Order: sequence, then C-alpha cells, then structure tokens
Amino acid sequence: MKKFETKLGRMITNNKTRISVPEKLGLSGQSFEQSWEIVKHAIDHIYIDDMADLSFEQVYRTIYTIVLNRKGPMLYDNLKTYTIEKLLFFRETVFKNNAPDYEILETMAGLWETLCNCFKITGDLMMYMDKVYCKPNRCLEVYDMCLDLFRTEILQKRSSSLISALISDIDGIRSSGSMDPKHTSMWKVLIGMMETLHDNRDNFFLTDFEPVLISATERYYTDAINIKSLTPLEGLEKIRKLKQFENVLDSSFLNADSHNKLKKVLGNVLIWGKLSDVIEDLTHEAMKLSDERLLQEIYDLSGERKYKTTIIESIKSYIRRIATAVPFKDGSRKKGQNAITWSSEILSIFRKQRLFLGNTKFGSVQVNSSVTYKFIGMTILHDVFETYFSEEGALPSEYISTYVDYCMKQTNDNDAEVAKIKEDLLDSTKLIELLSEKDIFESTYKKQLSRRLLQQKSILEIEKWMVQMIKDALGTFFTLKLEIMLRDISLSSRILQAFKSSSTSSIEYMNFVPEVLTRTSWPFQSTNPIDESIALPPRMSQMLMGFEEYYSLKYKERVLKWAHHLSVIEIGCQFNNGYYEISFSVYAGAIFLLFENYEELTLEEIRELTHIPEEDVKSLVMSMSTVPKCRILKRSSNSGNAKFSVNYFFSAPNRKVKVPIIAGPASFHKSDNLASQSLVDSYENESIMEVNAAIVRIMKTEGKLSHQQLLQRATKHMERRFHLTSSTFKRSLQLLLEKEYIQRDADDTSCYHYLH
Amino acid sequence: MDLNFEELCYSCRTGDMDNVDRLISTGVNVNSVDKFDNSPLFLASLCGHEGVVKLLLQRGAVCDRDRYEGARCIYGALNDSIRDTLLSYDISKAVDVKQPFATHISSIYNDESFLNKDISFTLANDQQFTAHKFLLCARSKVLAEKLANEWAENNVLLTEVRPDIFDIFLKFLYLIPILHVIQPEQYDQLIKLSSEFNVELLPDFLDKAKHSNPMEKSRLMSEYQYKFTEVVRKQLLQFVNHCIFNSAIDVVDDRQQTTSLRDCPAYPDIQLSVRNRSGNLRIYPCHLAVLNRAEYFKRMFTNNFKEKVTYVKAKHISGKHNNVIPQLTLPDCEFEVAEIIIRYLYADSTNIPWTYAVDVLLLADILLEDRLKTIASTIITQSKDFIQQHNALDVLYLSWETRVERLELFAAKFIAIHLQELSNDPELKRAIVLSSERISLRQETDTIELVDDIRYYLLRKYSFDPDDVELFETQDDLEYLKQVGYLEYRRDMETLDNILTELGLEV
Repeated sequence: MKKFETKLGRMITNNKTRISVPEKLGLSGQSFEQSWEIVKHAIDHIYIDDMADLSFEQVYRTIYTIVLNRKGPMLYDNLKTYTIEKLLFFRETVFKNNAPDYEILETMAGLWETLCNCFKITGDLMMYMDKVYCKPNRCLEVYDMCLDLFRTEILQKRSSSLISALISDIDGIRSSGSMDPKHTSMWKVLIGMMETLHDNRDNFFLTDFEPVLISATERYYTDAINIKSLTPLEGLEKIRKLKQFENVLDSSFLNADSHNKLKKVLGNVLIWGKLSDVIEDLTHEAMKLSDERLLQEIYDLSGERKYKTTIIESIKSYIRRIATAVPFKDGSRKKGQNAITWSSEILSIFRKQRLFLGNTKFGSVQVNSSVTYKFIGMTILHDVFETYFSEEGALPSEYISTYVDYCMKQTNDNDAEVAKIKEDLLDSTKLIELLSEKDIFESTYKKQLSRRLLQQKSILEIEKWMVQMIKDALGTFFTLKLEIMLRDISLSSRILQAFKSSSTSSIEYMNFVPEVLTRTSWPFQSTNPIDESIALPPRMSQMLMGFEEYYSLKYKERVLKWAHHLSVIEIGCQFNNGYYEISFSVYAGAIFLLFENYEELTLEEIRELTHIPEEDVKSLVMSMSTVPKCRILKRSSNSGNAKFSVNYFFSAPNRKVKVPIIAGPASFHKSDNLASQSLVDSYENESIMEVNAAIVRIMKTEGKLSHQQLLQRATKHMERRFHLTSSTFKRSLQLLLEKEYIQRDADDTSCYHYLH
Repeated sequence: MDLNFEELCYSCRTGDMDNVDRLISTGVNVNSVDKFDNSPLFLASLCGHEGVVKLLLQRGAVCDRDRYEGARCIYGALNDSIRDTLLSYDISKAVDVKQPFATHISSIYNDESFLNKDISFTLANDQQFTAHKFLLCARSKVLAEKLANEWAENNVLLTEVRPDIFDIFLKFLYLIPILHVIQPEQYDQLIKLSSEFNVELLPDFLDKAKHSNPMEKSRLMSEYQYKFTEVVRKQLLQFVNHCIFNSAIDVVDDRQQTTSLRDCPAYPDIQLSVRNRSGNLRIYPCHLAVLNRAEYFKRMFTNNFKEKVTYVKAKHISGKHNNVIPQLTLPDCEFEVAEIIIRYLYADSTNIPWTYAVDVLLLADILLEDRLKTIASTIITQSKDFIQQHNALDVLYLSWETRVERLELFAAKFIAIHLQELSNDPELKRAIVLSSERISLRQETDTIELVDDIRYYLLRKYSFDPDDVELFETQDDLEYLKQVGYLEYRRDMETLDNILTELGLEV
C-alpha cells in the first residue's frame, strides 16, 4: 500500500498529462474588443429584428470564449451600457409629444412586446454567461437585467404620461358603456408589463399604478350617477348596470386581487355613496311589490355589515308601516268586531311577511335585537310586532284574545275548517308571544275561555291544544289556571257519567250537565245573590239536590255552590207552527217553565213564584216577549197590569232559538264587557302582587339597593310578563314599606333595606 | 403527500414487486422521500427485497454513494447481495432518471413545429400520418428496406391498413404509451401489421395480453413498456453506429464544403461537422429532432437566427433535386468525442471511455448538457486509470471551470490522501492560493474551500469524527495515539498548516 501511494505521488508531481481547457474549445486568438464587436453586431441585428444572417453558433461561441477567459464582468457591463443606449434610442424616437392617449398606450404596449422579445433572444444568446457568470456572482441574469433597464430607462421616465393615458382610456371605455377588446387586451399587456417589472419593493403595478387606478375609479363612479334625479328603482337599475359593466371590464384586464379591490371601491362608491340615500325607499318598494328577487338583490349588493343592517331596519320600518295602517279603533263598529278584523289583518301581514322574508337569504348578519332566531326574518318580525304591540298598550292583548275566541267559536260550527283554524290559532300564538301586556291577554283569555267552556261554544280538544300552544310560547306560568279550567270541564263530564250510573232517580225528558268549577281558577268574582233565593221548578231542584248529595258523598270536604248565572237551560217546546229548541239563561228558563202550570201570569206573580228580584224579572220577561226572533211569550195588556202567556203562534227560521239578555241581571255586566275599567283595576292589583313578589325576591338576595337600581332590576325581572310602569312600582313599594318588608335607609332616603 | 408514493413506500417494505412496478408506471417520482426521509430504494434494501431494489434501480432510482440517501441505502442493505446490486448501479448506469430518452422520442412524434418529418402515409379515407424516416429505419429492418426501395418517395399510399391500427402502430414506434388503449378487436390486426414490418415485442405483448386477466395485463403493460424503451435504445444505437457513423464522410479538401449527405441511409435533415485536433474535418448526417435534446441546439433554433432560417428554407425546397442540407458545427474535438455526444443524444448511451471523459465534460459544458457532465465526471472519479494519468490539481481546476462539485471533492480527497507526497509540490500551493482568491466570488469570509475540503477528507482518511479528535487532544498515551493513527493525522494537519503559514494565509 505504501509503495503504491509513493508511486502515485510521483505520478502526480510528474504532471504526466495536463488538462488544458481554454485553447481547446474556445475561439482562440481574438481580443475582447474583437469579440465584443461580434456581440454588439448581434445585438444590433436583434433589435432591428433581422437575424437571418446572424449565426447563433458563432455568437454563442464568442460569448463562451469571453466568459471562459474571465472577461464575463466586462461583457456584462458592456452589454448593460449598450442596452441602455438602445433603450434611450427607442425612448427618444418612438414616443411622440402630445400624442393622444390611445396612441401612447399603443406605442408603449408595442414597444414592450418588441423589446421583451429582443431581451429574450439576447438572453438565449447569453445563456452561457447566465449560467457561469451571473448565477455564481449573484447578479441579474441577462433577461432580467434587460427588463430592469426597461423599467429604469423607459417605464419610469414615461410613467406619468403612461398612467394618465391609461386611466383616461379606461374612463373613456367606461363612459362609452361598451367593451372594446382592442383596448382591454392592450391594457392587459400594459398591466402585465407593470406586474413584471419590479423594484426591490414590489412590482410597478402595485407600487405606482393600482393606487391611482383605485382612486380614479372612485372618482369616476362618484360622478357617474346622480341618484337624486332618479326613482329608487331606476337608480338601482343604473347602479346594477354600472356595477355589472365594471365587473366585466375589470375581469378582462385585471388580476383577481386588484379586481376585488375595485369591487370594494365600487361597493363603497355606488352602494354606500349613492344607494344608501334611497335604500329605505328601495327596500319598501321591493316589499310592496313582494319581489323577493329584488329584495335579495338589494340585500346582496354590498357585503358591508352596516349596509345590511340598514336594509333590515328598512324592512322593519316597512312592516311596521303596514301594520300600523291597519285600523285599530274604528269608532263605527263594535269593539269585538274591531278586534277580529284587526287581529286577522295583523295575522295575515305577519304570515305574508314571514313567507316573504323566508325566501330571502340574509346570510349571517348580526341584528340588534333582544332575541336571536336562526331565521333573521323571524327576528325582524319579532322586533317589529313587539315594538308595535308595546306602543299600543293593553288593547292588542285583548284583541288577539278576542280573535282567538272568535276562531274557537268557529270550530264548533264548521268541522271542515278546523285545520285551517288551527293554523290561524298557531300563528296567533306567535303574536301572543310578542305581546307586551301578556297579563292582560291572560286574564282576557281566561274570561273568554270560561265562557266558551261553560256555554260549550268550542271543541274541548282544540281548547286543550291551544292552551298547550300558549304554554309552549309563554311558559307554564301563564297557562296554569287555564289548564285547571280545562281540567274542571273534563272532570265534570266524568263525574256526570258516574253520577248518572249511580243515580236511581232517572228523570225523563231531562238532560242535566253539571260543571264543577274550581272557584279560584275561574274568573268570577262571586256567585250571584239571586242564586241563594231562587225557586227553581221542582223537577230541576230535585235533580240538583240529587247531584249535591252524590257529590258531597264523593268529596266530603268540598262545598258545592250553584252558579246559575253561568248556566244554560234548553227547553224543547211544541208551538202551533212547529217544534223548537229554545236556550235560556237559567232564570229565563225558570220563568218560562212556570207556564206549564199557569195560563197567564203578571210580573208580580212571576216574582213571587221564582223569588227573582223584580227588576230582573222584568228584563227577563221583556227579552222573551219583545225581541222579534224569540217572541215566545205574548203580552196581553189589560189596563196597567200586563199579563203574559205563551205565544203559541211563535215561529222561527231555525229549530234552535236563543233567548238573548237585553239587560241582564246586574252581575252580568262585569263579565260581558271587554277591558272595562274594573278589569284593568283587577289586572293592576294582580300585577302589583307580582311586582311585590319580584321586589322581595330581589331585595332578599341583595339586602340593600338604591331606588334606581331596584327599579331597573324589577323592570328586567318583569319584562317577560308586562312592562313595569313607575306608578305600579311606586304603589308596590309603598305597600311593602307599609307592611315592613323593606325599609328606607335612615341616611340616604333613596336606598332601601330588606327586613328579615 | 402523493398517495401513490405512500403506497409505493409501503410496497417497497412488503416487497410487492408487481405493485411497485405498477406504481412506478403511474409516474411516481422514485427518488422522492417519505416523511421520515426514507426513499423507496432505502426501504426496499433495508427490508431485503432484492427484486424490488433491482426494479427500482432499473426504473431510475438513484443510488449515488456520494449523497446521503445513496450511502444510507448501501449501509442499510440487508445483505451483501443487495449491497452489490446497489453498488453496481452507481449513477453512471442509472440512465432512466425521469426517462428523458423515451419522453423525447415520444415528443418528436407530436411536434408540429418547423421540424422536419420527411415521410407521410396516406391511408384509406385519406387520413394522413407523418413520421421521421430515420426512426422508422432504426425501428425495423423491414421498414428500412421499404424506405430504401418501395417507399423512396416521400408520400406512401397504404390503403390496405386500417387507420386506427396504423395510428397505434406509429405511436408505438415512437414509444408513446398506448398499450392501455388497444381494444381486443384490434389485437389481430396489430399483430399482423407488426409482424409484417418485423417489429418485435408488440406482437409478443399482444399475444400474452390476449390471455391475461386485467391484473396480469397491467403488469405486462408496464413490463413491456419498459422493454420497448430498452429495445429502442438499442436500435437507435445501432442506427447511429451503422447509418450515421458509416455515412459520415471525411472532407479532405477544405474548399470542398458543399458535401451533401442527403442520400445517405441515415435520411438526415442536418449535417454536423467536426474538426479534430489534427485539423481533419468530418461531417455526420444528423437529425435536428434529436439534437434538440441538448439545450444548446434547442435555443439555437428557438429564435430566427441564421441556422433556423436556413433550415426552414431547406425544408421548404426539399424536393427531390435539392441537395442542400443545413450544416452545424460542433466545437473542435476528437471525432470519438463527437461520436460519444451523438450516441448520447440518440440512444442515451453513456458509455464513455475515461480517456475522453474530460473532453466530453468540456463539450457537454458548452452544450449545456448537465446530465452528460455529471456522467462524464463520474467516469473521471471512478476510473482508476484516469488519476494515474492526470494531475489531481488539474482535476481541481477542471472542476472550477466546469462547476462540477463532485470533481472538486474528488481532488480534495486525493490531496488529503497523498498530502505528504504533495506537500512540497509548488502546484499545490498555487492551487491553495487560487482557491483563496475564489473567496471573493463566493462572498464568504474566512474560509478557503479547498483547505476545508482537505481537512474534511483528512478526518475521513483516518476515520475520525471531529469529536474523536477533541478526545485525542486530551490524551497523552502516545502508544495508543499512534495505534489509532492520531499521530499521523497530526502530522498531516501540521503539514497543511505549515503550507498555509508559508503562504501567509490565515485560516
């Protein structure tokens, strides 16, 4: 091994065969100057596009030799200087002074394309230098160097005229309103050029042109349209057209990034700057026309949150406007009728808008609202109706309750429409949810429900379903009593069943339906004083006794009291002209039944027989003898003492006849009128109880609060039920102070303590 | 990461030959690495699947020992047999990297540019196909015969062949992968046509494919597509040797420049002239479609320089009576070198005798053929004869000239090994000075690359790690240090330092 190495070493020192590089392959014997002349000659021909006599082989090998002889830096510098010379020549000869914009652009684009080609050919020729000299020495490759020279020598020197010409050409096409491929493709070339050329920061397009283009676009579109002179729809149409055109135009010559920037500018200028003035009118227009596509389009015009919120507010104001336009208190009609018309119209608006808004895609937008539904349209409706109802105070609550009452009564008459009515009811619950005075609704509803139940005006199943719906919408709290009422009714019918089967004394021709009601849950103040003393026909009282007996056996602790004023009696009677079923109040029924035993009676005799007070007897008899539809009694007036007897010549179009109450007993007044003063009073008493409870709850946890704090907390607490007025609050506070639940602070009178 | 590549790695672990084969044919880069930096070749050799290793190597997986991945493969190999296989496939033999050969041949078929296609076939229903005579000639003896006789005209009428069959056949000749599009009903016709023209392998494949299930068929396809490439390479090499080199003429009298090789059996569209060192001129009949493989020629014909203008002109007037063929000149070199280049361009042949390796390297540098440069420098570094005949420092200068790092390292390694013998050689000092002057070029400070390389190889010479050296410095057991070779290492390092001090270089 040692030996071998020495031998090798000798060999190396001997320098047996020398590898000599340059002479062998290069073109020897030329001076740099001579070689440079060849290269220069080649470049001259490249720039005049006449290379047919130019041998690639020769030039390439010349460059190879130069580089091999370490003259690369000289060649590079010479090439640079010479290229500058060329570019100077082009700059001075090609551009004309005061040329029209289009010509400037054309010249520049043409020059760019020509020179790029020249640069590329030069680069191809110089590729050996690129590889051997430029890359290792970290200088720009020939092609890139030439591009950079183009930037410094031509683009920068001409940039202001180029930019202004390009901008004004673009504006020209914009105002002409039609695309011109000749122009756009030229712009594309120029922008390509700007994007290619870059200094050490960024490309020319980004540093110098784009900002100008953006502000020019802004300026152009600010002046392009006068929105005030157009109707909202025309304005939209115009903006739509401008936007569309600009989009097509931009996409024809800009990159996606810049295009997006311009889109934003367009949004700002056209949508915000222009359209926002008329956006409310425009939205209303779309709503009025029920044009979903139009609304969607308006909504989609801009992605700005502020814009979208404006539209949503406009939608709200529109719905509010049509909602408030519904006649609320029409003096000429009855209140009940008003309630029904108003409610059904509000309901139909609600439905229509819900459907309409349901077809609009709102995207994800934050709406300023106390609630958030998944569906923004619902949030809008919620806000609108909630505000509207709260402004109108208690009436909407009563109206809607009345409307429900109306619907319920419909169910009894018409089985076929139950499904539709159910739908109405379901939607009503949506409105009920939005009522500000839910307590008023509750109490009204309770009264109306009780009447429906007792008079069997509706289908029990639907009542139950409705209460369930209300429960879903408002919570258990509201429907507690309603449920008890329903339960009473159901329970009564079961008790009746049991009673009938147990009762030995079956009474012929009589059908008795007792309803056992939990007194606290039903909206009746007291029993009628008449009921204590009234003398019923023996058959009736016998039956009531039987039931009382049965009931007291079953529920020993319970006290049963008859509430005749809530009851109905129905009597079948054969008149000369036919058989009629006549329904009465119990009092009227009792009177009518007297004529089974008497031919003729005076008012005085009736009073004695029934123990009904004179005034009441009078009006009951009047209702049976004067109202044309149900004149079942006739009056034979001999002198002052009128006598009454059955009118056998009575006839009516229907078999069922109802005897109305003209002016019923005094106790009837209260339950018969809607939202009378006493109702509001009782409601207020109830709400004071609630407020008391709330204040106590708050104070118990807090111990000490200022007046203002307490008011705030209590208001928030009561929000779900009703709007807390300061008078209610003060009354409640007064009450609590009196009862020594709370105490004023000795030093600071605006503070309260909770007393344990 | 590419799913196919992941699957390839998995199959390399499990040794699933067929799947590896299939996956490679989908174009997966076999020289890629997975997320653990394992190449398929490494995985296969680690897991001991020799067949897969061979397959990967055949399909262009590189096992370059001077690179980390390559070294890892060899050292990771499960057994000696695999290691030998890997060693035998050093880069000089791995020729299929990214398949430039087959791709290039296929690409000239579809080339619609100014390049010459010199024969056109008209089939029934007047469908026209164009092709290169030289390729047809190379692909089959029967075709060569026909070209010389019946098909001497540039337009051939072939009404009896079905156009769809001829289309597939022609594409097949150009190595375009069409095996998957052949319909069963076309098999017989294709077999017939191929046999008629004495084109091998295609009938063979079709016969086997007829009776194969789809799985086998896909395996057959990739297997045969590879075979086709190998055959074409051989055929083109034959064509170069027989038709091109045999037709080349030596021009005795320089003034007799108008020599035309137009009617030679190579059907050239360009002539390549070379002057050797003795001043003799030889002209080879060549084809631009092939020369284009070299960046140099490609660029030459990209722009409208004289060469292209002449070529296009010649093409347009290439009637029967036109004898002019454009002529290109290779830089002066021995004819053997020119022929190596021609063989490389036509047939991807990389058989370079070490005696011409330097010339090939330099010529490849001019022609911007980096791959050929790598191959030539590999020959230089691997040939035992070369370094006996040449000065290592010349190799160093050559590496600087041609920018081949492999040669630079090779020279440094040689100097490290023979440092004691070379220490007094003024040439070494000159080389170190020259290397230090190159610092400015590299814009690095404080280092002389050559010295760094030598120091590195001195460590390698004694199989030390830098850590070992630190450890030895604290030792004073001379006997032990002598035994491990540290003393000799010290001596070499001191020699190098002395040279540097002498030269006044602070490193």
